[in-house]
Amino acid sequence: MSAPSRRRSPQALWATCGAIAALSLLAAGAELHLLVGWPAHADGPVAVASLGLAAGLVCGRLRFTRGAAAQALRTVVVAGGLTMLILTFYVVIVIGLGESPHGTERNVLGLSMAAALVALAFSGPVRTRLRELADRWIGESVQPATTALETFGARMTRAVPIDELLLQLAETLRASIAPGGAEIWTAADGTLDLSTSVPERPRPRVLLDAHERDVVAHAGVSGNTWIGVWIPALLAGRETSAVRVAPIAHLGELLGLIVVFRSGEDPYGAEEDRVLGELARQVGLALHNVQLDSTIQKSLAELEVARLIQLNFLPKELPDLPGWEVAACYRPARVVGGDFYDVIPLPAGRFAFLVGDVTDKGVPAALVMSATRSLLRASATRLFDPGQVLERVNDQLFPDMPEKMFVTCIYGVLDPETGVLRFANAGHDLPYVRTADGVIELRARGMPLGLMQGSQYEEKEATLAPGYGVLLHSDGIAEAHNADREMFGFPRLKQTMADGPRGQALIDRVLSELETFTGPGAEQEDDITMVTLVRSAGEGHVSAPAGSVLAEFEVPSEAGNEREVMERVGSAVADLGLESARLQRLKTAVAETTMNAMEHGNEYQADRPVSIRVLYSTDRVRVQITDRGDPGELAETDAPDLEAKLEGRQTPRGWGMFLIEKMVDETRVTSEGGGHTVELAMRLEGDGDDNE
Amino acid sequence: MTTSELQAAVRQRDGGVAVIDLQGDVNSSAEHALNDAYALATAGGPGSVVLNFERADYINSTGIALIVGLLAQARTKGIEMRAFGLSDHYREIFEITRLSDFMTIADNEDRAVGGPEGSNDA
Repeated sequence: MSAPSRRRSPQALWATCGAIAALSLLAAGAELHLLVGWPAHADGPVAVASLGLAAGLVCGRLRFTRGAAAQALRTVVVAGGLTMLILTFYVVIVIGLGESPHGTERNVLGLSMAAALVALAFSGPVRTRLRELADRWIGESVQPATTALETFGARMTRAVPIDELLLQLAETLRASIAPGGAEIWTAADGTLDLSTSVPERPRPRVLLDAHERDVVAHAGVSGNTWIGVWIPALLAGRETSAVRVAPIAHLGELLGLIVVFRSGEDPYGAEEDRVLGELARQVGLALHNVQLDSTIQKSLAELEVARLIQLNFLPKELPDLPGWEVAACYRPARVVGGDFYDVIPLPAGRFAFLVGDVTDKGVPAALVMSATRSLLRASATRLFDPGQVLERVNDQLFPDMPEKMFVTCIYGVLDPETGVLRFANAGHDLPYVRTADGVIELRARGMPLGLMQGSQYEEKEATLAPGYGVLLHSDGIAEAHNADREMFGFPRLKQTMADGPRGQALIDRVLSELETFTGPGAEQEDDITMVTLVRSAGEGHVSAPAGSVLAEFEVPSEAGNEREVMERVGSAVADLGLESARLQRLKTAVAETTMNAMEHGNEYQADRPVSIRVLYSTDRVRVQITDRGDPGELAETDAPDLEAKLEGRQTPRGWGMFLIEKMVDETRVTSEGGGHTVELAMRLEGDGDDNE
Repeated sequence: MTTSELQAAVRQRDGGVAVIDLQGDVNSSAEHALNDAYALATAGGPGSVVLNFERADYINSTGIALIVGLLAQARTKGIEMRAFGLSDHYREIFEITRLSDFMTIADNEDRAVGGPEGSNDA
């Protein structure tokens, strides 16, 4: 909806044009008739007038002729009006004098009117030319003040540094309205410094108090008298000059002055004041932008320093624990973040591991993060129980926590010798532990820190056996969205851990899955933090305690890959002392099971790998082969009957499962959301003929 | 881990015995090679076919199924099938699947070619 406009439509313009033309023609005709007796009859003028009117109406129906209509109207009004003027004067003078021209007198009168009209037509352009000539004689090619405005306006749009811009302005002013000199002053907190002057003439700075600053900032372009009252220093040495000052201000703040001088006998006029005021306004904008840029640069520099300080609050290096692998990852969503993690050495070789998350992100979260982290550190080395540490920190944070902010935190103390992890949780995301039987969550109840005075925190324990891994994380991972607003989610994270990678490999895998999920170039929504601990399975397999994972890997579901699996499992158990024939049986069983998994479970789909895990427990080796088939789809098949096959009563196939069961001591099938696992167990002790 | 596709070559021995020399993996991709070799070996209608497993690296359940298929065909034609060159492990598999009940497993080629008099013990 556009605002009502006073612009008249082309139709109206054309119509008016036609009407005025018609009227003028009629009136002119009448007056001419009076003066010179021509036109003799009214028909001629009336006809022409009607034509003009009709033409106007017709043109009004044409589209897109507004510009032409406006121009025509202007021409008609000016021409018609001036013509009427001349003719009317003639009528008044001639008739008024009581004369009544006849015969040849009429001819002379007619010619003289024509001459007058022609002269009038030429008067406009001739006047301009004459004026220029006179101006040229008066001054030394003085440009009109408006040129300065145009020049400066054009220059402002180019990327000229501010100093050069001011210099060019001063020079332009000197060339146009300030032959005595031009100065540009800049102000900073009431101190006025001469920034540029043409000709160059150093001047001492001028100090203004708050009130003077305010008055000057709001003043318009002013002259000697005003300057003498408010900024008398400007007049020093210029008492006989005509001085003009235009304050440069932006939003009521004084940013500088434009000062121009010339001979006292040639005072400044209103037009020049107007130009000075406009220039001052434009310079004000330019100076304001320069200030803004500098403020932004400072803020960015400060933020960068804040980022480095925050990094200092994170562990500079991770401890080197024999028998353990510790890895971590910290990625704030913005320059600074609200997530944090810490690894704190405690007496008796123990370590505290924690991951925390402050609500929100950015600078406010970072500030709360550093306070929380310091409190946690202080308590960690005095109170050893995770629950007590969180209780104490909560009570310290609560009074000072800004409204609607709180901190979640998972805090655990690990004894590397025994693998016991004692932990408490202040409302943080549940850590995952990869055990021999899959991924489990560690749960302990407690409210986020800083939310309520006196909160209690439940303590629990978990034992990390060799090969086990624990992942502490924050919700930046699970809460990442893809283009369809689908969440990455905790199940995916859990599955990534269940797939097998450990330690730094797990972190890398999570990050790459996240990137694949959110899509390339997606902005990170929330801080991402991970800490993972893995207990090594150990070197000498035979002497390793029960539950060791000897190998784990996965292979794509492609025919032929079962050979690779067979060989890798074979080398993984090579040191266990399995008798040769039994080892071969195990390998065959592994190959057959893998083939089943690839074919029936994963349907030979490339994106569904088969996962293999080889475990060693006290008296046997276990191989777990997992596919991604739908649960509950295990087909029961009849035992193969060779005679029936030879007689064509059974398909020749179907030997896989039969062989598997015959080759190993135990087979067990489990299925959970995500696939089936067939576990083959082979006792380490037993003769070559020990099978059913 | 290189898998090698099966290659099967046929040669004739005295007494109408055709020997199929197998080299590579006896798995699902061995079907064509095996069938072609069998057809070739039985083209002239010999009395028996001997499978040489000396250079067969790997036999899986699909390979077993292929052999069962060949054996079924042979029986309908009254052709006897024998085998040699199996490792202990694969010999065991032949026994578990009862293939050894229908196919004589010999220690070496001559014994296999020689026929029923050849040794059948593990």
